[in-house]
Amino acid sequence: MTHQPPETIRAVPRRHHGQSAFAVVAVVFVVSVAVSIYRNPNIDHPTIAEYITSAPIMEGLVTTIQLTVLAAMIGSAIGLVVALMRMSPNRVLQSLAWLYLWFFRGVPLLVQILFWGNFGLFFRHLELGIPFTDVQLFRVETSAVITTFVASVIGLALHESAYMAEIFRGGILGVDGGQAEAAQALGMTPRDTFRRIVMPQALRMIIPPAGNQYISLLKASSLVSVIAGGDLLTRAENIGAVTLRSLELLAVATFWYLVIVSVASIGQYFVERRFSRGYAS
Amino acid sequence: MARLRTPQRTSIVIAATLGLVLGAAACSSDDGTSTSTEATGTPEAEPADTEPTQAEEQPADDAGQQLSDMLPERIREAGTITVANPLQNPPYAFLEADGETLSGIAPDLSEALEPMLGVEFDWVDTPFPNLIPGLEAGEFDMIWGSITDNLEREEILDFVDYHMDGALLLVESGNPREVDTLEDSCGLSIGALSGSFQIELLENQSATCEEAGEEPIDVRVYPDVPGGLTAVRSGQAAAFFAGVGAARYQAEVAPDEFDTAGPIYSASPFGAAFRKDDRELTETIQAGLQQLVEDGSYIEVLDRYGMGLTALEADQILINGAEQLNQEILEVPDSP
Repeated sequence: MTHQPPETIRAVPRRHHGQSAFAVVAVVFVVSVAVSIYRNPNIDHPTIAEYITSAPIMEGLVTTIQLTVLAAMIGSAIGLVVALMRMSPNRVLQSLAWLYLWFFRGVPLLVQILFWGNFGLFFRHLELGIPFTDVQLFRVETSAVITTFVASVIGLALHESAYMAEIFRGGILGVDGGQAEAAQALGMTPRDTFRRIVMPQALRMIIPPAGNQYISLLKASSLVSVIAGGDLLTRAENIGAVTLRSLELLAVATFWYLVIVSVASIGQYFVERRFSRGYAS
Repeated sequence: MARLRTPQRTSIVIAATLGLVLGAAACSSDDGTSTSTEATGTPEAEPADTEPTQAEEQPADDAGQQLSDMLPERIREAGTITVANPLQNPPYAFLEADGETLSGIAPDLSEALEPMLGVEFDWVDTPFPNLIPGLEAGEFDMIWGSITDNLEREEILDFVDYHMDGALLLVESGNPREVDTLEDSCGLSIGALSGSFQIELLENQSATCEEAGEEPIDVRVYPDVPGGLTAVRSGQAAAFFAGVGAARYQAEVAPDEFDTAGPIYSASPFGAAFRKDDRELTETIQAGLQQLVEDGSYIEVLDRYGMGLTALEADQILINGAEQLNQEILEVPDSP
């Protein structure tokens, strides 16, 4: 009897018909909605084209980026300090940090911005002098020092610092306690332990919520409109109010916000990759 | 060859049908008449209690019947006219501190019109930049309070002019920064309301300043009047370039804080604004206001807010009268 070679096994990948069908539905739906919005006769496309790179919008874009970056940097720096205070064995420091968090997370951001923007209501002049004497080194009107931009940064940064403090604390708590113990056993100082052992590991857990927080800050920066802060959304709204084309100008602002968020998301990806070195995914 | 109805095939058919149906539904939404625009958000509908402050003179019944006949069908059926304005804008339209009593020139005039027209006015608190988009989208029937009738706006809306206003500088009490005229404000920070025509006046003046070799004006645009007033009080802005009524009202109720300065710039009529396709309503309100001028209620309301000198004659209650009524600079004596 001749021995037949075994039939080649035709291996076919498992088909997921339901998934594919749903994907088709989803794509058709999204494309239809997008086309419908784009073709809507109530949107004046020439206006969008006219203003999308116009001077006031570009100025607003620069202001928004400046506000966000400065507030994020200053807020993170202060936030880290507050987080460490919160985890300190010193009860006074701990309580002060708790109070700080309670206040700056509790007071609405709008109120904080209005406060700093109108600081001159409470203290019309800022002076520096020698106490208990009449000697005045200098005296300046508050609005000259705390300009709208400065007030915007302060307001945003302090608010941001409270949220960043908790994000930092969460990340640091997430590092296994054994790491710090081992470092101590090796004779490392608390400062070295923190800088070289704990914090680098904590950063991996800090980056995603921090990225979220910064993007949130980007949008929240538009609240400076109440003190005529001149950010992107405010300028777009003002142009829209005068040209009676609010929708189109909001589309312009939305476009630029999306651009910034896209760039930030790409940046976040690379930072996360760097800090995930040594971890199996 | 017969095709077996497998579960996978069924789900594909259902899914494809759904996709086509949903796609068709999405496509059909651009039928050209949008009933709401993103920009306006949701105007907080606060039908304010227009508690009568004084009894108004009632015109003859047949005159009232004539007026209510002029109203469009939809308004007579609904029994209300929806009217929008920011309601933090004294003396034009504002809510009192109790949050319910609505006062101001426009609300008081509308109250006088109610018995004549046989309908009620329903006031909707709307931020200034959202007024015109909201009116065009049909969210309310008219805008009334502090919107200027100008040629640009007349291209898309119809206005019934009801008193004169313009731009007046509001400064700190005593005018410490000595801002006497618009021309003095080179290099200073001057506030204005978002969407107001004062912004253009300031920007033009700023350009003039720069051509003369001086510092430009720092034009600060605030989303509402209170924001601008606070800026003047805190020193962030040297002046707030407000409407005449708003400036005089603040100077009157808070003389320790504010003063007005300079002449009235761009004296233009304030008008009640309507959609161009709502001519019936426009003409009804015009006729109603003219009657109020004739029976004296109109001047009574204006005097109540110290705006008697901006009153119009009956034959000046025009539709789209910007061109006839505009004046560049109106020197008006400082009244108490």
